[in-house]
Formats: sequence, structure tokens, C-alpha cells
Amino acid sequence: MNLIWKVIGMLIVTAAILTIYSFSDYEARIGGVIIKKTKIREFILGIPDDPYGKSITRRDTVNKVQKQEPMDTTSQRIMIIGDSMLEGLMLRLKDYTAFNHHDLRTIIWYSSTTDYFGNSDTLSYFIKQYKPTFIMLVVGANEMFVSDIIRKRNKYVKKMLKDIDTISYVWVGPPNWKEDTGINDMILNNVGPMHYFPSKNLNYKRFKDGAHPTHESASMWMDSIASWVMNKSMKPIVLKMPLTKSKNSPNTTILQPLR
Amino acid sequence: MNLQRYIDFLFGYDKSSPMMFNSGVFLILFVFFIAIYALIHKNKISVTIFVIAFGLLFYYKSSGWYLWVLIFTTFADYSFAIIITKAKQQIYKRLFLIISLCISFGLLFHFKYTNFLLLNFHAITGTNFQPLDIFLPIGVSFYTFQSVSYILEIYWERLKPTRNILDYAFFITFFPQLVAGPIVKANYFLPQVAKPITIKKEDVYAGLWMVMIGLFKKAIIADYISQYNDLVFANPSQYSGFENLMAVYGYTLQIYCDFSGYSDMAIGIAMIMGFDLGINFNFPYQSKNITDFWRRWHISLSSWLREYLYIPLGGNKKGKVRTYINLFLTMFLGGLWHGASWKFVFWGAWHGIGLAIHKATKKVLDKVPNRLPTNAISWFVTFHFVVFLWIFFRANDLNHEVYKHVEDIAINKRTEAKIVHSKGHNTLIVSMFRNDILVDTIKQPLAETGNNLRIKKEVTAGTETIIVNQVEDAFHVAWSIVGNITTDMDFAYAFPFLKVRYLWVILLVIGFAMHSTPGNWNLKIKESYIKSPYLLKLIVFVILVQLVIQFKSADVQPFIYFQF
Repeated sequence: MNLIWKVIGMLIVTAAILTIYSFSDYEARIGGVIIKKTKIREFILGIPDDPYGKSITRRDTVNKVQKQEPMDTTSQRIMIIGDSMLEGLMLRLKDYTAFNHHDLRTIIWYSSTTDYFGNSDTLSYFIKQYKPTFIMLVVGANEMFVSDIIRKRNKYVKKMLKDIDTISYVWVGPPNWKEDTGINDMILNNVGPMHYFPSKNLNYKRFKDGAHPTHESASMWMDSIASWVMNKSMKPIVLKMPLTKSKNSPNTTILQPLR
Repeated sequence: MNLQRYIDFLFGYDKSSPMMFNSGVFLILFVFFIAIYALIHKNKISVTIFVIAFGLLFYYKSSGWYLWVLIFTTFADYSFAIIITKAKQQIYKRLFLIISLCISFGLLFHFKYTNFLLLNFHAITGTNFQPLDIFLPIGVSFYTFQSVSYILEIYWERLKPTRNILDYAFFITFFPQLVAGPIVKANYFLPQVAKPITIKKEDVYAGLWMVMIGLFKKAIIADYISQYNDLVFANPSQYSGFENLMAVYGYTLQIYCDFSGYSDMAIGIAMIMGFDLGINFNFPYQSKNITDFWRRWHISLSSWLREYLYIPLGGNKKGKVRTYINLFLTMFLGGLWHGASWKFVFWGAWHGIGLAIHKATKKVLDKVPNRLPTNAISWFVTFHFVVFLWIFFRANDLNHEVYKHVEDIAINKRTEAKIVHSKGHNTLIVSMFRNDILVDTIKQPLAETGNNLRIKKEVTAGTETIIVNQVEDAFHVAWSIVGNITTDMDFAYAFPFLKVRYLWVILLVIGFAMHSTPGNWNLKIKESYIKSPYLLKLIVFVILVQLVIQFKSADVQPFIYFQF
């Protein structure tokens, strides 16, 4: 009889430990492996478990407020900046920019995340240096499984948007290979649907790492992005589909991952 | 604070996530349950009502308002037991037995086999078929068999009816075994219900140990390794023979860990409460012949089948040929119990044939010397016979896989998918997506699900119809796995496989190692845990729970046996 209370005590102590850990900002690691948290905190505070949940309402609200501007048919200085997913996209984007008489600047920051950009002046530095008229952000693939992402990363997204200021931009979402923990929704809620291309629902053939789309698949991905930018984005620019595919990469600035 | 949200979480029904022992909501409910249980367990009536109420809540959280089916079955069979007992003439006893069996099996048949019957009828007549929207209440196969065991025991006068409806309801709704067994026979469990509840000191920690072992098997090993197995079984032709073979071994371990893990949790929880549900698995993959396998695998089902089907059919008392036929028929029906599909019938029938062959050759086999090489050969043959048949058990027709795929995409896009079978091909109707740019994307994953799919898209007002022709059935999928293993085997894949899927391999090795250890080792480890200091027990428990969280995949794997 007394033993049952000991078992109950065991269950309660375990639940208490998990609850305290889920509320703490500390993220424990053992040999590089992050000790995951439960979603007790999210449950108690009413943060939706389903990343779609509440944001659907917000997304629809934003939809009503945002109104598409007329297409800018002038030649653009396009800057595409982001993580390693750019490797696949930039080849095809080069075709688009050449075909549509735009200028292209490519910056790959390997392993970059919103906190890389949020904690540095990298984005504002390249904006000042290149003075783009249109920015494509490809950031998020390295943060697909960050727990409690809104609390940890939302501020960095806001900082990036502050850096971009009034420049036309689109944010290309990560090509999910698994359901994310909220990165897509967090970006969408900050930028609104007309600045955000949701890549997660597309299907990709991927390299052996299981994450990066193959060149052919990335080329199709870029086709979808271009079509969306020209037809559905907030500030459409001309991105007609080029007739040929080149195999040469554009000139690219490469930034190494932070240690 | 939103009180309604907490009430829904604790007491509401969510069709997409039926409550399981390894869910957080069960942990919370169980803490309250066991605390109250500990306080009132000596008051027979209070504790009986309380456990029944908790059982009904547990079932409601698993199957929603199909709870009424459970309640109806309970009342019906309780009443029939009394009627059968009171009937003076044998003919009336038999009549009421038949009525009771018709009701029990009729309900089971309705929920489980109606679409299967219609599908086959339309296949024979060559007419169009649209499956009826019938929900399979969780655990219906399990509690039906339990209540049938009660009625048959009463009819054979081997058991007296329970003193009151509460004792019988306690037996049927006893939540540890309610939704997924073990199928506890009435003559085994009801005597325990009749006695005062005694919680033995040694049983509490032994029960906790069982729960922990079960949790490890189900939530860590089975759920993790299933992710790779699912990929291969959904599209075997895309993988090499070696990868197919790994998935087959993986599924062999997965189904064992999934089912026996859940059984262990059920048995452990019952043990903490002072009840004995028996054992359901006894290291089945250590068997050296197929008869031995069925004495070790899903013991509660095989003993139910033996007692209430094989023996009434005549068992081994009516000559050799009848014995073989009886074995075959028992396993044939046992296969059908697992699901309304020919693949389960095939699986069961071959196990029946295996049992009959073993029975026929037993005299010769018994003369084989009991030495290591012969034992190794016997084990190898038995194990691979079982493994081979698991391929058919697991394989789904591509129609099923395609539909699952479409449904996933539809859910992702917050729309609905509905399947319509029609003559010669299957038609999948999917509501038009809100973002029309992405409509075409549905075709690509469909195309990737099988080699022989011809996909055509038709857009009509508001809906998009995807017509999928030449859908492969489960047998084609199973044979293509067998074909890949036998004709495309290249061990050069082994090293890259190890490199990429090292965690999967580690868990596979741990799973089989746990299964291969001698029984007394397990007993010693269990005793060491029971004797260990409380703090150490607590640390082990916390580590285990954290491991479950660590390994939990984004999509929690459903329990395999819920489908039965």
C-alpha cells in the first residue's frame, strides 16, 4: 500500500522535472545531443501545439489587409541571401535574372539561421554595399526542429525585417523534409503571405543527405518561386521563365558557418 | 487559463490521437486514478464502480461514443449469461447461446468485415463499389472475444454467472486490457474480481518494471524503427534488396516490440493494481518450431483460439486429417481476426499449414538429436518462416498507401480527401486546395508512391479528382519485397546503410539482444531493480521517460494492434 504512494511520488517527481525543464530557458546537452523538452509549457500557456492552429486566423487577417501592388517592370538589382539551400536555387535564378535583364548578387552563409542574421550586421552590411531593389531571403532550413522557436527566434526575424526596411523582398521558406516545429509559421506570421513563399508543401527529389533538393528539383523549386513572385507576391517583378538552363553558378560571396 | 481546454484535454475525445499508455494525458489521469484507487481499494463496491468509471472514460478517450457499443455488449452478455443459466432445457440454453454469439460476432462483423464482404461481392459481380463509412471501434475484437469466453464458459457450466453486473462490467471494462488485450479469459479473471483486492508488496515494483520495459519496447524501439520500415514498405521497388531485407527484419522486431510492449504495460499496470493478466509473450523469436512459436506469441489469443475454437472443432481427437484441418481452420480464422483483408487470411492460413506440417512431422523431428547445430537450424528455419509471413502481414496495397499519401497532403492543406472505389480503377477525390499554385504538387508524391500508377487529374467545380489506375494490391507489394531481397541482394549496401542509419541499426540490435537473453537474466535484472534504492529507481524512471521524449518522432506512431 505504501509502495503505491512511492510509485505515485515517482510519477509526480518525473512530471515536475519535465515541467520545470520545459519552462526553463536552459537547453541541456549531452555530448552534443540536445536534451529535448516536452510541450508542457506550451500546453499550460496555451501556445498552440499545431503550428497551423491560431496562425491560420492571423494569416487570413493579414491576407485581408495586404493588397498586391502593380508589377514593377523595371530592371532590378536582386540580392539572394541565405543558407546552403541557395546552392540549388542560385543556378536557376541566374537564368531568370539574365533572361529578364536583372542584376544578381548571391551570398551564401553556410549553416546560417535567423539568429546568425539577428545577432550580426551581415544583412544590413550587404544591403548597404549592394543596394538591392529586391531581396530574396532563404533562411530557415537549419531551424526546422528548434523547440519553442517563437520564444527563441522571433526577435531575430523582426531584426532582419528591420534591416530590410522598405526594400521589396520575399522570404523563401525551407523545403521541409519533415514537419517543422514552427519556423514556417513564425516567418509567415511576421512577413504575411504575400512576402512569404511556402516551400514546405512542394515535393523534392533530394541529395543523399535527405535535406537538400537535387539540382533538377531545386531548379523546379526556383521555377515555382519565380512564378509566385511574378503573380502572387506583394511587389511583383518580372521573372519570366527562361528558355535555357545554364550550368554555371553566379558569382557568389561565401560566408563560413560560425564556430 | 482556459479551463475548457484542460477539461477537453483530460476528458475529451480526439479521433486523431486515441489515448495510449505512453501518452501524457494517460500519465496525468493515471496519477489521479492510482491515488484514489490506493485510498479506496479495500472498499469493494466503491473500488469496483471507480475502476469501471475509469475504464469507460479510458474507452471514451479511445473510441468516442462507440462507448455505447461496449456498454451494450456488457449488458447483453451479462443478461444472456443469466438467461442461459436459468434455462431448464438444453435446447433453450443453446438457443440463447446462439443469440448471444450472433449479437457479439454480429457487431464485430459489422464494424470489421462489412466493407471487406462488399468489396469481394462487387469484385465477383464486377460492379462499382464505394466503401461504407464504418469506424472500427478500438478494441472491439479484444472485448468481443472476452465476452464470448464468458458466455461459452457459462454455457459449458464451467463458470457461474457473476454475482452482479458490476463484477462483469469490471471484467469487460478493466482498462489495462480493454483496448488491446491481453484477451483475459473469464475463468481466469473473474475469480480475481470476486476476491478482495490485495496489493502485494512485490507486485508493485514488479508491475512498474513491466511498465518500464513495455514503454522502452513500444515508445523507443518500435516507434523509432517503424519510420524506416514504413518508407520501404510504402515503396519497396525504390530500395535495394539489402534495404528491403533490413526493413523486413525491422518490421519483425517492430511488431514484437509494439505489441508485447503494450501488453507489458497493460500487465504491469494491472499488477500494480493487484490483478494478474497472465503473460502474453514469452520470447517468441527464440522458438525452434512453429508450434512453440504459437505457444509464445500472443499467448492470450492463441490459448483463446485453442480453447474456444480448436478444441470445440474436435482438436486432435478425431484423427490425423481432422487435426490438420482443425489447425488450419483455427489459424485461418485467427488470421481473419487480425483484419479484414486477404493478406491476413493468407498469413493465418500459412501459419495453419506450418502447424499442420509440424504436427505431421513431429515424430520424425523429435528423433533429431538436441544439439547446437540442429537447434540452430531449427531456430533459423522457424524464425525465417515467421519473418517471411510478416512481409505479407505488413504489406499494404498501394491503393492504401496512395490514399494515405493523399490524405496526408489533404490534412496538411486543411482540406479533405475521400476515396471512391469504382470498377477497374480507384478514384481519389480531393477538394480543391486553397493555394492553386500547389495543386500540381499532389501529382508528384502520388507518382512516387508506385511504379505502375497512371495518374490523371480532372478538375471539376470545387473538387479535384485524381484517377489512379493499375493499383497494386498487398500481395504484389509483398512479392516485390521478396523479389528484391532474392534478386537484388548486394551486401555492398551494408556499410553505407550502417553509416546512414546507425541509430536504427543500434536499436535493432538492442531489440533483438533484449529478446535473445535467457529468461533468468531478465528475472535477475528485474529483481535487481526491485531491490534497488528508491532514488535509483526514480533516476532510472526519469531517464527512461526522457529517452521516450528524445526518440518521439514528429508523428506519434499509432499502436499496430489498434487496427485489430
